[in-house]
Amino acid sequence: MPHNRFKDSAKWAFVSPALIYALIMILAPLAYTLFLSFHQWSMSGVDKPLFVNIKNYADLCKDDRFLMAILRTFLFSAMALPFELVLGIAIAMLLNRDFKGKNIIKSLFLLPMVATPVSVGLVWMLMYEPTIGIANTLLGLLGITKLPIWLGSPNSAMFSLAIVDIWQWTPMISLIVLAGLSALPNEPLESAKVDGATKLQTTFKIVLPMLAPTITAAALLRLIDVLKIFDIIYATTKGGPNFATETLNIYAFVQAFQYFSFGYASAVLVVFFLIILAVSVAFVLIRNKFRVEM
Amino acid sequence: MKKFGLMVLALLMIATLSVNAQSNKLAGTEIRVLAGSIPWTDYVKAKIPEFTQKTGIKVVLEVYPEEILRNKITVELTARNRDLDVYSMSPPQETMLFVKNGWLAPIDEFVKASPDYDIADYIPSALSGGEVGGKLYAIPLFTERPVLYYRTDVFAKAGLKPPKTFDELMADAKLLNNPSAKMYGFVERGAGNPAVTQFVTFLRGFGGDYQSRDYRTATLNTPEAIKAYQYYGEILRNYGPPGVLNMNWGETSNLFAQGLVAMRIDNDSQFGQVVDKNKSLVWDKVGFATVPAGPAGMGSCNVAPWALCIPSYSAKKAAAWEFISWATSKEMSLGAMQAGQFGARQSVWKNPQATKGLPADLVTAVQGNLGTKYSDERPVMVQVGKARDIIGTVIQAGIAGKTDAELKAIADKANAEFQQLLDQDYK
Amino acid sequence: MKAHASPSTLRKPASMYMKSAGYYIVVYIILLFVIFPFLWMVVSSFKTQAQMMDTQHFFNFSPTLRNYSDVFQRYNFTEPIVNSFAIALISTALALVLGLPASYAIARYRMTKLSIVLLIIRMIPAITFLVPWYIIFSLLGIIDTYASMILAHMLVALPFIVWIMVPYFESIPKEIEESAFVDGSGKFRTFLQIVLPLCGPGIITAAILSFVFSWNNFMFGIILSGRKTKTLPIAIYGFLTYTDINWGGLMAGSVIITAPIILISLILQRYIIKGLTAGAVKG
Repeated sequence: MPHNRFKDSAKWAFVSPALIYALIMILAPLAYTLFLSFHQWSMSGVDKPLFVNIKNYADLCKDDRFLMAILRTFLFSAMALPFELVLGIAIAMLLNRDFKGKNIIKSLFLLPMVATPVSVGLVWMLMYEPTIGIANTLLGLLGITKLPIWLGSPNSAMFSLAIVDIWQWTPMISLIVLAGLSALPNEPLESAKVDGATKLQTTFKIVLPMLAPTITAAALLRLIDVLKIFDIIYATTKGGPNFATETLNIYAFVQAFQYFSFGYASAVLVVFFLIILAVSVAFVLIRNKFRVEM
Repeated sequence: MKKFGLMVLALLMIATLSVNAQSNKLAGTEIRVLAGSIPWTDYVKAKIPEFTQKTGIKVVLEVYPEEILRNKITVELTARNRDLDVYSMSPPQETMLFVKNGWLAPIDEFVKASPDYDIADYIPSALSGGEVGGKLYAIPLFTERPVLYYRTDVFAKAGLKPPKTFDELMADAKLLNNPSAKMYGFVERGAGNPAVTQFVTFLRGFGGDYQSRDYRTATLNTPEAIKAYQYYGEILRNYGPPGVLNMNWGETSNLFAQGLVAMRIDNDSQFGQVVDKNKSLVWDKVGFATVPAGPAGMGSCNVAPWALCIPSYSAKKAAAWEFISWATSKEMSLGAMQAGQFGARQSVWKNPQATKGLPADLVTAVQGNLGTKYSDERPVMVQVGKARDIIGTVIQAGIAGKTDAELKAIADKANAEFQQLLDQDYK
Repeated sequence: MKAHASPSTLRKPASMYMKSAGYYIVVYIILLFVIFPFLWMVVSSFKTQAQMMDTQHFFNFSPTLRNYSDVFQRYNFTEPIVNSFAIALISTALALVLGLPASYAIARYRMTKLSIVLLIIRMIPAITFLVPWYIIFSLLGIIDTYASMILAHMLVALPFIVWIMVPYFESIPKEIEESAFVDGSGKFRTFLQIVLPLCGPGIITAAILSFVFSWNNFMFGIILSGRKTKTLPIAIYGFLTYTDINWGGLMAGSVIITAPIILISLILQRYIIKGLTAGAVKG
């Protein structure tokens, strides 16, 4: 059997350098964080971490700011991710034909994704600035009098940040779908045409199912990253106004580096990690189930 | 005998070597200094070669913005890094915590051994921020206090003089507020945590404070405090620009520099931006005045927001002190003041040369504030950061325009949380 | 006129023009949204703080180069540029050395569990690493050296490389390797000499994206970098000081951070797109 060729111990020689490196780099921090999450410690060099058993975790359950941070983390993902997927696919459909400048557009679509998040946050902050920003100046020119205050209001700050994320990642989804469309084999499309399917029907019945693995893989990575979003919030609102943009990652950072409650911050991080893990596992399970049904 | 002779020789050599080393024992030492990006650092950075020439001590200076600096210091000290010799910190925010964590070395011995340094020259209240339990841990770099920034042209047109009381401030803000002509009456910080150090001027002006005099009791829900939240909220909500809830000093400074607000209160250390032709549209129309007083008198303060200190883990404390005593000497303080950083030493205030290049009304405004009894502008405790966030929620509730009953409930809740922190810190 | 041409031929081009004009308008509006923040960054970087505030003259202003001279003279961006380049380049190279064989094994031996382990790395909040790494790296004496930054950045790159390369290796027919084995080529030689050369485009994609992620990384830099290893995302924060926010400088700094990344992306765009869509193209 040709398969036997690939069933031997050589595989460990291939993976062990990466595995050893990864384990060394992550095991110590994970163990340390888990250890501290059962302690109370202000990072003091005088007082040792004080063992408090599960007190930190018990306190988390009663901590409104923490619970709100969980909610906001999901809210942000729910605002950004579906938009990115739907909008990304729609734009890809739109661009999926030959026209002048298509290649240039594809190149430019890459830019938001690769731009440095800190810079992205800063430039959007400048554009959102209620009085000197271009966003409101343009809206003003359109005759809108009740101008939004974007990052300045607890009601709109989260949504304004979601727009930044959507701006950054929708083009990537478009590019993925676009590349998938151009790589599709012709026969199913032709036969659909013969059957009298509309363009929309072809898209939903044939194109999207074929692209599903790629889109879901991209969506999973995006989901993990969007739950962990940090740089853009840190560069703009730092969790404000009035905690309106305080996601789990920001909250952990505040607890650790502004409140110096390192034990508590560790408990936040542990729960945060478990949430990401759970969401990812759920995502994969749903995807697999979906696959079987297909 | 030969052996003995050799031994004597060796001992003699060691003795002479150590005597040599004693005479310039610090020469050749390299110290690592972490400093915040403040104008003071720019001024000192340029002078470091002079220090190295004088003492032979090499200085490795790393400059970071405030927050990154704090993150870095936190991690380095948690890891007990011995390779950090001097850092700048914010005494009102950090001294108590850092002392509790064992991150600061007391410097009394060094001060005592340097009579020329003249520690008595410091404004006592400026020095007090770096003291815990009778020991001195940090040397202040400069002082600052809130000051009223106002538009001279707008005031002249309306025939107004800078307000002296809270009532006048409110009336002027109302009169000058004209959003359709892109002019707002008044602006101050509205973001919760940062607003704590500015709101306190009003809180004390109305007779309230964050804590009792012995620091142990929270006083966030007293009638005076409620009045202050209402006043601060009313003036910003009705006569302030949109988006004030997310504004720190940077945003309010920008608005003022754009010519969009008639009055602004914030620290005097930020004056440079609004009087610079390249940074401000109203650079030639800026006036300064001492902040108005409230019914209970003047609520503003003088604080020393930045200081230099020596971490307890440093292996080169003597050289570190050598650097600090040079950087905060009378001569250097004078130079820094001329560069716009108001000094913490009394001698610079007595020196007419010190304020020569600065706007005259700014100097008057600052001097008008020197008599205040307050030398802190935030809760005095270990968990300052957490406390500021709690107090910030009430300030923001005031700006958001909650009803009196709602505001009282929010203040009660904050007071209970704040009290809990105080109980932990003052066991 | 009507007599000469049939109505259908006349109407068709006109409506097509209308349609395609409308199409182009929609496409270019989308494009404008995508690139506008970059345009704004560049425009603002040539303004003084005062000009930035003048909302009457957003585009009509006399540009200044002061922000750029500030970037290099006052804030000394040269060193951070060198640091960012060196760290991104070396960490990418090393992550490839570790990641390529691992991806190959995962693809060929169906080691899905392992790929999940590597995906979990991505799920760990970065704050978790900061203090432990600082302690470990200072015990090793490599704080403020390239080594600590590179070790940290490799961890960001590794899951990404695996994500891109596993489908790529899977798309290579096994028969090619089989014939090499038959010819007596060893596993490693086959991998190095036969498989890797077939994966050029995939490797380039993985390399570019690893480079980009390292270049953009902010949080590890806060803690692990020092005077000698300060990277660009940290350096840009020099424009925010205790008493002043220099927007023009921030924008000039942002242009300098993003320009190299944008250039690389534009030049190598087809590789990036191909790599992002490896799973789909394989089909």
